[in-house]
Amino acid sequence: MTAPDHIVYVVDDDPRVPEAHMPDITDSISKSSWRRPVFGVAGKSKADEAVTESKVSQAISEIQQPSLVSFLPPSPTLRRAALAVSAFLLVAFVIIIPFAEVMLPRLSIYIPLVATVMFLNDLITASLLLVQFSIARSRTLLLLANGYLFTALIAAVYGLVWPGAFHPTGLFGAGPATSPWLYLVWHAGLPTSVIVYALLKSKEYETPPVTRDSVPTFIFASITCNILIVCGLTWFVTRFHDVLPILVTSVDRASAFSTFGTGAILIVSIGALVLQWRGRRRSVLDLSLSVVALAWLLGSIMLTAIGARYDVAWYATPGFLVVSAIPVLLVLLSESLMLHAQFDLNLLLENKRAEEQLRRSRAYLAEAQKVSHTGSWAWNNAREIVYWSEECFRIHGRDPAQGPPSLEQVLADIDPAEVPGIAASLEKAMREGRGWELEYRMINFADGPRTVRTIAHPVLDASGRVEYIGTVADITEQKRAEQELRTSELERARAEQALRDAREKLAQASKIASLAELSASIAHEVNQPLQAIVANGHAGLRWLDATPPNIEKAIRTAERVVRDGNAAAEIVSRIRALFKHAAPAKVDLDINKLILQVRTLMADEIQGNGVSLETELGEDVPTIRADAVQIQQVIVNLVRNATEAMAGAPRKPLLIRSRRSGGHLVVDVRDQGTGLVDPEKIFEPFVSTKETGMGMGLTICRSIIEAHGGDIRVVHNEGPGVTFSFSLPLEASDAT
Amino acid sequence: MTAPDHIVYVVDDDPRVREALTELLSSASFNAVAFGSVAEYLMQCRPELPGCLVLDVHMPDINGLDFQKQLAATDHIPIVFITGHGDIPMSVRAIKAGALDFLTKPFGDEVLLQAVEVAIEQDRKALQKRTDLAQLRARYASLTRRERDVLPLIVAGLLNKQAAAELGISEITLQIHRSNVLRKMAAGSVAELVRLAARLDVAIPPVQRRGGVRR
Repeated sequence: MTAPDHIVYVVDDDPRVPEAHMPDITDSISKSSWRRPVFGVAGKSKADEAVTESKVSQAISEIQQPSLVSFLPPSPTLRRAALAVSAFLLVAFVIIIPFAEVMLPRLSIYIPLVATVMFLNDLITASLLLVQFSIARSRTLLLLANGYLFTALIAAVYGLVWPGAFHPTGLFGAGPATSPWLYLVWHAGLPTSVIVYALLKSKEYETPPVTRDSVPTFIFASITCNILIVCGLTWFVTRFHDVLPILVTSVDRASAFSTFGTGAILIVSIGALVLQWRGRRRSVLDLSLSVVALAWLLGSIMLTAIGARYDVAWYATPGFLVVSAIPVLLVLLSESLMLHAQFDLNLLLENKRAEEQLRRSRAYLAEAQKVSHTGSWAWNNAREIVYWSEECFRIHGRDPAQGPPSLEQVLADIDPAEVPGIAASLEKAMREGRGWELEYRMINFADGPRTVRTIAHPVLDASGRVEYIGTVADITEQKRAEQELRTSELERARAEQALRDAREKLAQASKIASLAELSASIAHEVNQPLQAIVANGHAGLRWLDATPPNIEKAIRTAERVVRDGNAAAEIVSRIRALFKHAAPAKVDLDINKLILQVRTLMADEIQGNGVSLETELGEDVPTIRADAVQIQQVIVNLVRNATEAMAGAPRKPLLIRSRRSGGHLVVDVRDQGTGLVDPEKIFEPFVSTKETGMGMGLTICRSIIEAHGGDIRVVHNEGPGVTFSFSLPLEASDAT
Repeated sequence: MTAPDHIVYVVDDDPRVREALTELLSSASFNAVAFGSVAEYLMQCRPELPGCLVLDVHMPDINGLDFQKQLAATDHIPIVFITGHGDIPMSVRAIKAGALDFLTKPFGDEVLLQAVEVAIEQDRKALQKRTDLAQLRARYASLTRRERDVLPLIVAGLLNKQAAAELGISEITLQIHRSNVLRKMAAGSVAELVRLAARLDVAIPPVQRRGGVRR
């Protein structure tokens, strides 16, 4: 199988399940038979991942609690093992007892040997217990460790002061009472600590563990105290050996270990065993301590059976001690091995988990950056870019394989026109230790330039130097949208302006049309009564002409003629009144502007007749006081007449000219049309050269000009056509 | 006064003009009726008499020219337009659409009276034509199916023998049909029957004359 690209956590309380997938690690765990969740790593379908995820987190939280020998219940296997050892001890005891007093060859090295073994064994045990204490910070463990440490030290001293081993009477000036007293202390010491341990154990869960900080102090104090106590004891039992009560009556022969000594050892051993067996919340440690207590007790009983030195019982007693010392050591050793394996496993799982979380959060971050078009980066204080996210690469169009770019390279990406400004801003911000928010453009992209906004702020790194952390955001789309919005706003404003213009034009056009409309309406108004008069007149004539004349009807028609004649006169006077009262609304008027306006308004009409219009506007023409609408109507009327006159003769220009003549402003409209038969009469009402003309236009024009105190006339050109000219006084005369 | 043999309708929104024109027409012995709007005119039940409509172009309810357009498909009496202010395009449009005249106010008596006279005469003829045609159609409708078969053959100029052969009947039977056709169609001769058939637009089959006819 190749390296897996994913990981599956198998969670099962049956060790066989993960075992099948991960024999290496789970083996040791399952052999220890700890009833705890076990994790296996294997290539398995990804679908299970989510299902087991919650169980995994649950399991991991369990692992994180300190779980040591002293807190774990023994497995059935371990119980059986404990029973087996106990049974073995009892059987050995029973076998040995009958031969207790059988003498064996003298082996003077035996006691130092046993002492050495015990010393090493207990020292290691004490060390491991201290290590456990440092992890669990349990007071009972500390106590037990002290017990073992004390025992170890006493055993060492005992070995040293054993008469005949290093010195005929023992080292340090030991006397005959020295080694028995040490033996007593040795054998009473451990069971005592076991008793205290068992008593304290019941309160273990009510007392808080010692604080983490005080652990080294406790360990140091324990070691120091033990050494001091053992040194003190040694000094005491060697210095005052002659004062102390004799525990062993005969050094060489009699086994008469005093009743006091044997009793004391027996009592503590029994107490330890009873308390251990009785103790609830049995843990692995408790179980092994029970075995120890049993072995200790058997050893103590065996002590009473000693007839003389070097008999079977004498040799067997330390043997029990050695055997009793071993279970705790074994348990502790396997414990530390287990801890190690567990630690590795946890580390592995933690790493995998952290890796997965990291990978996932990276993926989320990358996705978020992609979606928001925002990349992130970091500079160190040497202005080197140390981090440059994937989105940064994308925005800047760089290849991620080449690694983060240098500051110079980043500047090179920016539109050269903006580089000096950007560089200056950066320099300034960095000098002042401030952050920045800048926008820059990047050209050289296939899909057009990009606009980027970068925001950065300074942070202090671990050594107090200034670093920068920031983002780059691709705001091209945003800018484009803003631009489009602005453009559409502009277009809307333009459209509105066009609409306003059109409306204005329409209003102007209707003003222009009003002259023709007006004359048509006048004609209609006047023609109706005229028609009635004519018809009635004819009818009357006919009635009179008839034979016989119908006088009655003739009178009726004549009456109607009079009536309708008056009505016509009424209409005419009404129209005249209308013109009279329409006093010009005078404003400051720029005649040239007005002419251009008319040209614009009538452009279609002029071109439609195939006529080109020229303007010759005098620069010295001042503004005058006049009614803009009325003057405009005059010009429109003249231009329209001229255009119609020239309709048959295209490609000839129609000229509008403004000029100053003395105290007057003159406007000429020169056509190149057919000319006029009678220029004098053209301004008279109802005189028209046009087929459909009413003969009112020029009449109205004249009345308007005259109302402004001006003058209008027409002359034949030297060439074809005529020129209409009207003049208006420059001096404002508000007379109408 | 005897029952009038014609009628002139005057439609103008101005009561003075209406009154004056009616007076003028009366003085010239025309039988005139006036209305203030096109709607009023349309609501009037009109007798089957030769007539004429004197219509002002500018009516409040409908433009005279548009009204003329609506009437185009019907057998309407001739229209003489009058207007307070008309222009050339307007008059051209009216005349093209079949108006008899287009008079601009104020107009003289002769102009109007002459136009009305012409219009009535025209309508009289049209009415006569319509009446004659209706009569002729009635006669044609009275023919039997066999007689309607015979008629085209006679009109086509076949001899009795040929026509009989064409229809597969005896010559004598054909002769009976033939005399019935002439009688029912009130035709004095075959030549007159041909004329009547032309007015009725009877389809004449392209019958091949057999040999032996031109002997």
